[in-house]
Amino acid sequence: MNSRWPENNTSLNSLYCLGAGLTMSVLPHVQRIPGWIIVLFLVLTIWKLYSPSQVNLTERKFSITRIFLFILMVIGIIGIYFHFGTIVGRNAGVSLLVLLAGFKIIETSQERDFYVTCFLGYFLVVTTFLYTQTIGTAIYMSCTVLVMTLSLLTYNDYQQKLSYKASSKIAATLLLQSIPVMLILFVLFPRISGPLWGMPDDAHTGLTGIDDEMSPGSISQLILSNKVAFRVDFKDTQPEKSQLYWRGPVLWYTDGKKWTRGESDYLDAAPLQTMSDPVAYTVTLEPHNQKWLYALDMPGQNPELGPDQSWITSDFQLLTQKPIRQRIRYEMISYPEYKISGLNNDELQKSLQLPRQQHGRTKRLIHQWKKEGLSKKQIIKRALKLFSEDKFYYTLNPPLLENDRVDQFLFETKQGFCEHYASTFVVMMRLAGIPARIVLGYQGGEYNPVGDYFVVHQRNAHAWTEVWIKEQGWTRVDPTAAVSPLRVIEGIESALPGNIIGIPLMFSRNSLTRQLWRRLNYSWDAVNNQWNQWVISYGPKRQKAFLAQFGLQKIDWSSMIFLIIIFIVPILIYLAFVLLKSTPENGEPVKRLYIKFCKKLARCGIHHVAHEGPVDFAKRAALKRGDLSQQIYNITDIYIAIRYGSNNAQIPSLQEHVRSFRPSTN
Amino acid sequence: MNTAQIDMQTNSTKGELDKIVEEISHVILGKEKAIRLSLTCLLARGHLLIEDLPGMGKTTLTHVLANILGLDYQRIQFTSDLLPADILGVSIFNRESSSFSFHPGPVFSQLILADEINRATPRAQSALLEAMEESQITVEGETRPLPKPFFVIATQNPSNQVGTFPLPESQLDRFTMRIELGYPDNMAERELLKGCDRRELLKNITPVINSERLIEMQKQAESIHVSDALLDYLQDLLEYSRRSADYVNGLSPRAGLSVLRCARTWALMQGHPQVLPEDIQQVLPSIISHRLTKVQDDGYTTQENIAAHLIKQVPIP
Amino acid sequence: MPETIVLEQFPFSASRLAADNKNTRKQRIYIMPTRHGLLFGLMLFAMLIGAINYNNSMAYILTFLLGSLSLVTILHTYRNLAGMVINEAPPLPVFSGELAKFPLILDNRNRHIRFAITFIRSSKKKWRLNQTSTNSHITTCNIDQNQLERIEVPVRSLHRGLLKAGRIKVYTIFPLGLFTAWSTIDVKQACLVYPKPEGQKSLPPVDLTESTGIQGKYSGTDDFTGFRNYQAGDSIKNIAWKVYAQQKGLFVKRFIGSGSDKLHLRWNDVSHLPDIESRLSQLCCWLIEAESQSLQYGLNIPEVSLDTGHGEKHLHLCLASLAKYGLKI
Repeated sequence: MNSRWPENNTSLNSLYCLGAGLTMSVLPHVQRIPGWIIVLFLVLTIWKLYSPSQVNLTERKFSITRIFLFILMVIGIIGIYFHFGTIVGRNAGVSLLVLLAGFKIIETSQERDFYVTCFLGYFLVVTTFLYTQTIGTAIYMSCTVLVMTLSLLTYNDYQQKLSYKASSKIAATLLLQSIPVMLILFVLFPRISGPLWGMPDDAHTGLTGIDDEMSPGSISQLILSNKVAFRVDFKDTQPEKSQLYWRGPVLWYTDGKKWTRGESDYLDAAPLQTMSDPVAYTVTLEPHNQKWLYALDMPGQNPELGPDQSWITSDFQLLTQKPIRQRIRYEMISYPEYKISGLNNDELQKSLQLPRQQHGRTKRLIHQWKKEGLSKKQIIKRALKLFSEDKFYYTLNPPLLENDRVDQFLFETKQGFCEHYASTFVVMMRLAGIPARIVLGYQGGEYNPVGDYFVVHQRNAHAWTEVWIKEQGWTRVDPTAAVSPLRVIEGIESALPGNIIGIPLMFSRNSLTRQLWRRLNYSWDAVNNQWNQWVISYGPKRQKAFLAQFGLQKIDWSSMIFLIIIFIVPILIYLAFVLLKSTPENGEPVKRLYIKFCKKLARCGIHHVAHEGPVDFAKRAALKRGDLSQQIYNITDIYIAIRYGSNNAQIPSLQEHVRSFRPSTN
Repeated sequence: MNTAQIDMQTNSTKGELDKIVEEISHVILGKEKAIRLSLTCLLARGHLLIEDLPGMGKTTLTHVLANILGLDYQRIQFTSDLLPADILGVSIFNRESSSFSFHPGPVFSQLILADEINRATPRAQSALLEAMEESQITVEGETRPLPKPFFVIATQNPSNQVGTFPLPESQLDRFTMRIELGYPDNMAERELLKGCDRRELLKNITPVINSERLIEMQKQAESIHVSDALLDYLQDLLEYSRRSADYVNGLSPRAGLSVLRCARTWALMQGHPQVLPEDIQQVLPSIISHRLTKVQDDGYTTQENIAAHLIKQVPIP
Repeated sequence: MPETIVLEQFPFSASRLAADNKNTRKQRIYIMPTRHGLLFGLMLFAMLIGAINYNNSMAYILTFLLGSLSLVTILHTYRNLAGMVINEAPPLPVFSGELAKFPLILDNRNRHIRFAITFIRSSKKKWRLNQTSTNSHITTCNIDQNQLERIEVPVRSLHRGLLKAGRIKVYTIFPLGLFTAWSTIDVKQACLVYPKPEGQKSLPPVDLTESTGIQGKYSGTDDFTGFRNYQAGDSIKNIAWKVYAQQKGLFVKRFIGSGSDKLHLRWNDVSHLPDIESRLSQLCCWLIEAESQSLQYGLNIPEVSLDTGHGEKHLHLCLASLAKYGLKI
């Protein structure tokens, strides 16, 4: 089948749009796929745009160019296979699509090729969303979709009647008119939780967050990250900043280097004695690809994610069935003041575990303290005192530790951050026979006054300890606070240089601009938060909650489809009404006034004929309605003077006359 | 000049023209529309083609017009043996001076009546038509201007009569208007029969205006205001004639100009300070009826009610 | 007055057209996805599956946006065709074998431009998606707002006589090519097809008995009438050499000749040809030749006798009677 318009074989304008649109949809992948694919794509596209007819492959089936291109494509596919080791994964799949798009556009000379290439462009847009879904991406991709649509439009624009500007306007109109229906579908389309089938392995790389083990340097890496970990919306009361310990995984086992959680514990939570009012809040957790949630110390309930989806353990971790790969939102209640009683044998053993033959010097120190006859409480105090008084520094760039990390830190380098202090402290406690464990999580958070919520960044990542004291139960002890009290009270930001927090140099000069920057940041984060809440994390749960607001708690698929139809049909009818109503061209205001006058006369049975001049009409009308003749002639005279005598000064007078012209219908 | 002055001038001209029309109506009975149209055509510097059967008063009308407007007047009777030289004049070889001397033909006068133009051969016709178009003639390599004002009123028998050479369409375009006189109505006929000889009446007619005044009036007509809205209408008409399938060919730009010029003159004659769509509608039939041919159902052409159809199809913007 | 065809307008828009003319006929408009529209739907489905699988909101949004874009496109495609007024115009006669052009006058009375309206003669085969058979000719045009557009649908004429255009399909896939809105119009006009002019060009001998020569005068060679300045291209034979010899410049003698001949083309003249069609073709050829030579000619064939005449109209009459010869029309 040949191109429909033989005289302009695949019009150039549409080809340019197509090239631009494809390039726009490919560009975001630059970082993710091998550079040579991008280069190959660009070369092919530019080749096609530079000489559209030269690479016309319709004529001969086997031309040299064609064979060359085919070989090139096979080489490309093989190259992708060697690069990724597969051609089905996410990155490999995208690479393949980009490669395909390049070869498709060079082949575009027939109608079908054009459409296929264009649809490929739309599909490439979707692939970008697998990596990022920020507002920026959305805006960029709307532009891309506009350009792709524009290329379709110009392709169907016979003889290129429309200018770029005019066709862009039409394309934009089409897209804008599609938005209402799109919104309805987005809100009401039945959502399914979970993937339909397994996702490629590399689907979730690049998610950051706290690991389920604490190895050297794992936290310091996070501290340099400016990403958001989660956002918290307190219902009524906000706890003090020093209380903001966001509890994550609890680490029990150590091999002297690494701390791990050990086997998962399915025991119920230990009895929790609450000693203060509960704090209610909602957490919007960014995906971190781990099977736990964060909550304020101490979580008082299981965050009902769904049946058997989450539970609370005896050491007050909130565990989930599946890794968190989507942004989720859950409501929590916590008790800042609490008392946990009860420690079973199992736990007692776990909380005193230590690697053998290690930490000799520390052991001796603790022995010495014990010899001095210190009680357990005193030992805790002594240890904290050691940190605060004995030239320990809080630094994010500690010297490298080898051999026995605890001994070396405690007696030689004395420089480190929460990771070092927490692990050393726990080791010391266990040596002294005090049950202790490490808690990973986040500490602090930034209050966003614009959105009235707290943002906890990855840089707030923290490690602290809990020790078992007989009278008090598990008690939180933060050895880092002993070294650097500011770190806890003011937050990590006070300990970090400006460039890590992300204040550009031009804003960091004085406090006023810092304030301004902060303000902007808060607003931007608030917008992002809304975006995340309502767009990105709009899933089955959110949909259910949203519909419940309208009294549609229990709604099944069929009634949702029914709802969609109920909403979409009126929208389409309205659109059709706007598009298809045929109002005559009224043009100038004078003419409109005259038409009004004619309509008034039409009510008396005197109809104006389209080809009838005003004077003739007036004569005819006056003949029929002698009583109105004076008025009719008046109006006609003024109308003629304006419209044919160009005497625009009389427009108000015409307005007045037409308005006051009220013929009685008899 | 302010509007009031213009209005006054227009009104006085209207009075004069009304008087002329009235005078002519004494001789040509019951044909006011035709008289007004032919007067319009002359004031719009156009040439007029009167097509009708013999004996309907074509010649008389021309005569009266010439007399009343004070123009000098020549009549050329077109016959099948008429030569271009008979119209334009000839250079005759003078043996004594051994040179050619030019004897101007009847075309060198202000108003020419080309009687029964379709009886002459196409060569003779085109000699006159070229003179009409250019207001000058070229004889023997020498260009000679024609007097001003210069009008041609041609009469033509309906072309289906025996022994005629119908004017080709391209030549017809040079006539601004084509009018038909038609039979007089009952009352007029009665009066005609009762009254005295028309020839006698002709002798009594005295010029109402002279040629200078005529040129003045022409200029006045050209200054009548034309608004954009009116031009839109005119363009719509032209556009329709060109795009519609009803006609073989569309109207030429020259036709458009003629319509505008005649509509202005008509407006002047009606005393309108500006041109109205009605003015166009009044003059349109006689201007376009010889220019447009309608396509018939079998793919061929007819010539009926063309203007009425066109006017009906095009709404006034 | 030929019929006016109005392509169905949306129910709730005031039908200004109905009152216009009693001769109007309404035609329904149908909408179908094109092949590319189906492909687009397939792509959307793939996108939706992807969106569900990855539970990716933006993918959902894009899928729904493009989905509702195609819904909106239906309306736009429909609007592009709806309410268009089509008038048939009589086609001009053609010679057999030529393309007969059936003119259609498209009247766009709306405020928007109608883009890429395509006309194609429907084939008798079943309607297919986007059919473009090689035989049919496609005519496409844009129509400006409140404008008329004249298009011609070409149809190959095969035999003399009356050619009917039959059903003509009008469709548009504007704006995005995903949907096609179409309607068929039954063209009532028939095109007169003259026989194919074939045969020898030399005319049969003129019937001298009727040659009178009083019909008109043409520039001829008989009587001297005067001099004229020499112009390039004048015959050397006519130069007044005597005057030239007197050194008075180049002049041309002018003459008037008389006489045109009356040519009667008769059935007998072509009786040597084997079949009717070739006879008609020969007559047709002669008629055209006679007209181009400005002769007075007439036609005498069984059942039709046309007096001598001249001019376009006369030629048409003669050719038309040839075209209709023997056919019951």
